Amino acid sequence: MVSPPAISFEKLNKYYGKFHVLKDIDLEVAKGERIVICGPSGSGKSTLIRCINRLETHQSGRLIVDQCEMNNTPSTVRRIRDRVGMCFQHFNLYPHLTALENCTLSLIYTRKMPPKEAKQRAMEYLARVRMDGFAQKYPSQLSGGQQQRVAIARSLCIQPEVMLFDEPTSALDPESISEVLDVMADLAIGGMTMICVTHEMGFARKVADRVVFMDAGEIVEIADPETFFTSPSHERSARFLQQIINH
Amino acid sequence: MFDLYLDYIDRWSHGLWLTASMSTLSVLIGFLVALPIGFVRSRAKGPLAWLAIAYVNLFRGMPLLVLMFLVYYGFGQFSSELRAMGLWWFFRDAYFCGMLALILNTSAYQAEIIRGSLNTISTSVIETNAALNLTRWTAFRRVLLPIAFAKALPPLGNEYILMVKATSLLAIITVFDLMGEARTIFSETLDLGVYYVAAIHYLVLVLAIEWTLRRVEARFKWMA
Repeated sequence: MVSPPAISFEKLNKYYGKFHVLKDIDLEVAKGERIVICGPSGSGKSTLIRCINRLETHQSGRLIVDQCEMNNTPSTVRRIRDRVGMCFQHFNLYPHLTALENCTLSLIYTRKMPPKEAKQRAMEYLARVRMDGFAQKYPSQLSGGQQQRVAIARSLCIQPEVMLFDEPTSALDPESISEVLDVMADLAIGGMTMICVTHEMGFARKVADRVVFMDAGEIVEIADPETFFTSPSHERSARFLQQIINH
Repeated sequence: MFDLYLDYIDRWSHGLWLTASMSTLSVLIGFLVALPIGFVRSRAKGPLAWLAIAYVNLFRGMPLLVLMFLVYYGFGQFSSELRAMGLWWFFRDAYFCGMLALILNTSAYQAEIIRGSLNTISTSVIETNAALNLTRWTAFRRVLLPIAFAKALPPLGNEYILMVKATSLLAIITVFDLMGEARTIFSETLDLGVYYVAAIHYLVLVLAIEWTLRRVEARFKWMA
């Protein structure tokens, strides 16, 4: 028996007013699959993954996350958000909470976990991103890479079915980039379903099962990384790769 | 001038106590009143928001002295009705009336401070609350409120200091705060030096508050 997909988009469309941001998106992500989404800025990559936990709403088509169809019902949105973890470009740690408190907040207050247990779980995941030594630090006392690793731990604490990464390394210096990518690669080895919007082509090549290339709100090409990087089948993806390699 | 202080030290101490306690209490109670109003001003639309705007405009648009007169002398006109309602004990007392006027005034200003600081919280914080599935209450109590409070602290401190000095108007509705005591001591001594002593009291009080505020602000070290 084939297990149902973790996420599936069916003819999904989204508009900002008259502007058509996402055009007839069809995409299925299997459980445990690692997807990298790339494409020029403004192509709708971030918007696409932000639909998955309802940070953006779509106007038509269907979106099914972990066998639950996304709609406007608050309970559905809650149910889906409960299974989806997300990391942002600018980490978005709460500045007034320590690394540990950032991780335990939603465990204690949304999931009603006893504080002791929440703390234990948070320390476990902080250790996995090698940040357990910084549990009592505030975000302002951490480097960008460290903050992003805490943010990853915070998302992992809820033990999500799917992890979304929205350009997790775009705001980092080169040294921090590799420490964050290492953590993400570890996650991939652990079998986490991951969707990453990123420009890190090395990471895509090494970790991704499939690469999705988007341009102007459309999925132009979906291919395994080897094919995508060596012989892209569309002129637009070839041009994009050319530009990235030239820099 | 030193004699003016030492000879009347009991009265000065009493006045200082009243000024300090009334301004502190009114700012604290005013904060609790301002919190929901500021929140509504920042987030809500419709009738509730209009009510909040009306409250702020009414009490910010009226001089504190006028407000004190309205509460103390104005309500006094309805003494029989107030007696019937069992509220006369409150409105016949200059201390309570003064407190009420101070609270109405400062809560209007503080509501605007809270609204402003809530409005500066970036959308990325709101999105993070959503992504982490926080309930509305948790998001408000554990995230928005502490961040907004830290941002509001400097202007709130400013409001506190303004209130300390605004309490001197209480003397006019017969409260024996610092200024009230100064007036009676002056009427007995006819020495204008009395007001220097009063001024020094205010100055020291404000400096003490300023020192405390700085220490409180330092505790928010996470505000990078």
